[in-house]
Amino acid sequence: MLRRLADLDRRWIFLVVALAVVAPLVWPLRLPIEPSAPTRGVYAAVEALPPGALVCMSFDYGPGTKVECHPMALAALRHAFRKEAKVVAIALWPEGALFAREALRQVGAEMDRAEGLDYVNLGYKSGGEVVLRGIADDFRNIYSTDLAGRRVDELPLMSRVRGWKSFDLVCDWSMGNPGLLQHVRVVATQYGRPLVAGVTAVTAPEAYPFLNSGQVQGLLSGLRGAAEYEVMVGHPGTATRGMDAQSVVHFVIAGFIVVANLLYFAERRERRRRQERNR
Amino acid sequence: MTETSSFSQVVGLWVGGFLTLCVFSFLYKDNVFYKLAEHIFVGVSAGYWMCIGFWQVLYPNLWGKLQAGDWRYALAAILGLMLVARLVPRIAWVGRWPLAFMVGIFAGFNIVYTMQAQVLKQVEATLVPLWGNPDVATTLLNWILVLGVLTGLMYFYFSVEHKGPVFGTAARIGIQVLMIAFGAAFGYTVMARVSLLIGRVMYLQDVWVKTLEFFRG
Amino acid sequence: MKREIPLLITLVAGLVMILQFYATPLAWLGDLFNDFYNIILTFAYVLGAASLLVVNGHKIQRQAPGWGFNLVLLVSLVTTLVLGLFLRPAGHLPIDEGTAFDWLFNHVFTPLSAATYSLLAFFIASASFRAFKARSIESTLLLGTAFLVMLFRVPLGEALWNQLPFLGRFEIGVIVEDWIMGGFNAAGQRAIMLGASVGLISVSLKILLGIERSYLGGSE
Repeated sequence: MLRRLADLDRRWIFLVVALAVVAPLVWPLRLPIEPSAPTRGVYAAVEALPPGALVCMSFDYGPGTKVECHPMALAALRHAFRKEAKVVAIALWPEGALFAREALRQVGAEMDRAEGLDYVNLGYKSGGEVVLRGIADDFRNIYSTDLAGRRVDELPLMSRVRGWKSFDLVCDWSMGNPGLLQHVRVVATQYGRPLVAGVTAVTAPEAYPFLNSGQVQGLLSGLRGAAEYEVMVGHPGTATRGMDAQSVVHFVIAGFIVVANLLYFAERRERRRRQERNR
Repeated sequence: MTETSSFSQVVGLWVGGFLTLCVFSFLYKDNVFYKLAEHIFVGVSAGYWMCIGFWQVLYPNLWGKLQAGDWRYALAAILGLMLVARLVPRIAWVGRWPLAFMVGIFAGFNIVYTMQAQVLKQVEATLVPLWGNPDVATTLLNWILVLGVLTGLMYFYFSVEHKGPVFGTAARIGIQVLMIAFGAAFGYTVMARVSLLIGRVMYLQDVWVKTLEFFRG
Repeated sequence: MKREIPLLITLVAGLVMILQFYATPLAWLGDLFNDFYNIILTFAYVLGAASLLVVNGHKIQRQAPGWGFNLVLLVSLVTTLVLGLFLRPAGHLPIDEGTAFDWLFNHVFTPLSAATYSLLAFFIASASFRAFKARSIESTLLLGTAFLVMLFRVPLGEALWNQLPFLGRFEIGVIVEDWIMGGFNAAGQRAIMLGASVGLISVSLKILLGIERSYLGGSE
């Protein structure tokens, strides 16, 4: 019996996980979400922006991690626009440029913001850190056109933008490398710009030293961080919707680990008993 | 999610939903649908990266500069083409020049930025007061931080054997601190992977919702 | 000369990148090198696509086993390139919103990429059942921390904890966030970062000085 359980076909495990995800999405639990201190740091940084402040948002994620990072970007855009801030979007990942376009269009339409006046999407450039360093004192070193091919100097908002020092806040929505580390190294450390970040849960633990050192003012970690920020901004979205399923699956996986360890200890005890008998 | 869906969007959602299920079919066993989806993915992603790279970098930053008369950028084009020459075995060696250029830049950046942001700043952040803090919690956290970093670093110092009352004990404490960090990383990794699955299931849910919205008009 | 010139290029490029931080007259050269880097890296995408064409083309030509799938890959690649480079609506770039390329990105590339990543959730659940055993003090510590993070960084865990008679008075979110993540995790990650950073600086220096040459490949 123990052996059969230990050798369970993994497809049964897959089925249980699938059901654990689907069930809460169909029958939501609607559990409350309490924001954590790092999330409150992001909120405070955006909330402190004066009207007309310039914010740079870097969309450094792809389709695989869109579920975590995109809700962060949407919530931050809503928050920034509510504070009458202006947003310049860049991307260190090719997919990020198109996700930036999607987010800006969606929130821009919701909050009646105009491209070129209230936000600009400069798109993608390859090179990661080299791009951030290349921007230095003038974005025009790297960006001569926006994502749609319009000349940067034709966009009214860009008349206010020179280099990194033009920005009151920099936000990085990042899934890996290039991403947060590059922003910390160049934007926060070399140019001393206030930096907040939203990262996938995989990279979140590595970001805590930067949070502790003050190089990052606030941090959203994974889907949970996105949900916390959505709640704080007052616009629950896909991240909040996903937290119920997240809760249930975590408990299911924890259950698997407990069962596996109980089986392991039972087998170990059985093996010791057999060894004793053989002596 | 509440906007009315167009026909091409609904068709697109069903194509995306079908491809998603093709990938998920791998969970039962490897099959022709999964292989199909896998090969489409590789082809489309390579093409996608090249198209975005062309319109976002080569067209404005290379062609734009050459059109404006800055002939220095012809050198960049030559170096780029030398990189592509790696495809031809007889002249693949010329690809070393642009590679060397990129590696040199990267190495130069690493020396400065790593030292500044990841060594000096992090060491500075570890120099925290171990007494005289406003509350007990801050003092305790500071002790955890300082001892954790020191013992963790001592664990990674393999030039000396991890023995003795000082070094041996410190290395043993260090590995425990690292295990807690790895445990936290594992917990967050589980969180991340599960989130990705939740995203896909929500997408499949939306395929149905948007299709119904479209037919309801 | 096939190895000496690249080593010299590496040294010059690296030195310019370092010196531009200290000598402002070199800033223009640093900016130029930055731009060159962006452009050359983008040619690597061309190399990737061309390489796929060559490798898969050979397999189709030889009719290697499974060549049908290689044909599917090539057709996908060529279709994407045609839509993304040549199919240009009037007044728009091929990659603009509402184009066929945009449709392909939203409804083929994004779902495929996301679905491939999402398979990991199933495998991590399966691996948790098979591999994560508390065999020693260290692994018990690792598992225990993972448990705390997994169970109490989700709303269900927090809600259940708050119902506990005595322990419920302590905010579990604060314990996990401030003490585990901000305390032990930050310390451990910082130790790893410091060690890895010193190693990275050392390797970068060796590359610039030509001691580390593995990036050049081959014996030629």
